[in-house]
Amino acid sequence: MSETSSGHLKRRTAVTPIYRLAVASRIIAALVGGYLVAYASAALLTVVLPMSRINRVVTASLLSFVVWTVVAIGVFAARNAWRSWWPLLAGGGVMLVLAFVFRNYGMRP
Amino acid sequence: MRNTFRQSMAWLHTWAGLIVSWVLFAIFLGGTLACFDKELDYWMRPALHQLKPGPPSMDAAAKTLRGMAPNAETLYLRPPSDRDPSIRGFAFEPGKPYIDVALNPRDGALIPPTVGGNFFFVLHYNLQAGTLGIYLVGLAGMLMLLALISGVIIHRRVFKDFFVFRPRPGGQRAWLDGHNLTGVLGLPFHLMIAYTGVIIMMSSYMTAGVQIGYRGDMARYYEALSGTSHPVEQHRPPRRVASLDKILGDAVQRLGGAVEYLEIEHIHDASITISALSAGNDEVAGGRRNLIYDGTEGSFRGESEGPPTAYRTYQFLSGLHRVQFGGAAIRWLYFLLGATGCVMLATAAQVWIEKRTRQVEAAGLRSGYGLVRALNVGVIAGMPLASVSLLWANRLLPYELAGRAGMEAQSFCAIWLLATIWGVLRLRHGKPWRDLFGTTAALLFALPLMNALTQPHSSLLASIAARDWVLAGIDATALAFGLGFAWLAWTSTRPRQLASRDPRMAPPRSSVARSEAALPAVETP
Repeated sequence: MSETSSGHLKRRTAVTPIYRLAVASRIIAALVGGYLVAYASAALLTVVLPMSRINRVVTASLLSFVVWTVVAIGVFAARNAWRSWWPLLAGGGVMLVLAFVFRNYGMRP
Repeated sequence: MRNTFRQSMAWLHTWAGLIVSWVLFAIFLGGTLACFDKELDYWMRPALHQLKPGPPSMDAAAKTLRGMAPNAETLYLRPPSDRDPSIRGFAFEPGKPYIDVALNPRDGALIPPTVGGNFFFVLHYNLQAGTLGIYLVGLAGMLMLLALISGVIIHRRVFKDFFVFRPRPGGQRAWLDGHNLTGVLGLPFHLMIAYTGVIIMMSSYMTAGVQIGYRGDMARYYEALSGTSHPVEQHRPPRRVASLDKILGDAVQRLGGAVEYLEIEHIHDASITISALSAGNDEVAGGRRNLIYDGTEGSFRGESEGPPTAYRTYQFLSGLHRVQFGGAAIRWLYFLLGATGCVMLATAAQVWIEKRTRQVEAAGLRSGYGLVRALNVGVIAGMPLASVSLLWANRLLPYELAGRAGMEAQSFCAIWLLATIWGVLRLRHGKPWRDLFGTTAALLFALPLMNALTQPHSSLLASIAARDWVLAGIDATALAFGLGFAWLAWTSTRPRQLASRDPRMAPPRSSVARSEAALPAVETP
């Protein structure tokens, strides 16, 4: 809510419901949205990584938590709620669709 | 929303940290104590303290375990080790609770059950709340990772803040310095613990890879992980079962080191197979070698090809977390760093709550933080008290009592609940911090005495005379921590209450406005 064009930190006199909503939105984006992107990245990495199947699955899962962390930081650094949400939905969605389309290739030994 | 990157990270730090600081405190304290889970297991089983020296009988232990779980397909037996002289047996029967028992290594007799140090381990990874608890702990770990990384970003002057500790002016300043000090001191450790803690249970909550790579077939995934295949069932009973003691002896010789587990698969079928997993205590990632024996003849069949490379990486990371390598020195290091983590979390909760209570009071509002502050007392000061009470309950409950392990756990929960109620009742007109820290100190100081009265053979003096350093170490550590809690109780008797009672600390009204940003180190002059 304290979105200011002048660029200085605006003083708040009270915690408004809108502010609480903004915090809740970021936390949900960081946790739920971050998880979705991490999940999608694990799925896509399982398809594309150049190694054997079991190694692809384990490596993708290990890396997905790094993805989640980076996404959560991006969510809180974004300038407004919309900018924190749409890259998650777009990026996560594209990765999930790609992983699903190439799912048979992901099962190669 | 926030103007600079660092401000937005301060925002993330406050919220990510706050949501879970209580849960993380419980996880951290549980994990810190679980560094010595096997040592506590041993302390809590006095029947093991008077063992005559001699070779273990795995066959006798297997017989007892089969009697307890006649329908189990697979049995696990852990031979005695430096850290645990008992034989541990594990079995699972469909539709029944998991069996986890300690058996006398000489005759296989059941040792009176106790929740043991394992209680803290389970508390650590699932809060004693099953699968739901695993998810909760995973989420808390993820939030901790976020709080740590955003904490580093907001701390421009990590090095300088490390040398800043200002306890005198009282109140929030000291708590914040304490939080920064313990946070920075343990930072590399905490980062490592948070990431490895999250990935340990990754196959429970990050299943995308298995969904794509194995169409969600977990059994095939686990088979590929272990690098072994299960024996094919022959649908007729085995002629006999080979001697486990012979197999153990052979495996120790072939491995040139200790065996962590014997796994007995398909125990009711002619395809019965026994494998011996190497302990690998000299490797962070633990044992990788797995010897396979014919379960009827006891003959050596070969060695499994071992885990795939990426899984070895996972084992290294989870090994860093589970600290089964490197002996007692590393466990002490983890224990001490874990303790600084507990202090970091306790002071974090304190900073957040004191700051808001002060703002609310300064603004002349009716405080909504009374209950939060009381619960904070209950969580932070109540859990150490409950933990030491568990050791007391272990000695005071009669060993013949049916269901005594459950009663130990109940006494832990009851004491924690009572402590929280005490916090609620005494916060306004008393000093609940002092009361609870003081009681914890008294129980810790009196622990060796109570131990000597209830189990004379296991007392501090007796165990020193017998050079049983594990046993003596636990009593001695209780005394040392008793001193620590006595100091905490003494410092919390000094008046250091709310801003309204201390005019120096009352913030000007305008600063209330900036409250939610909570930029700890950034604003330090």
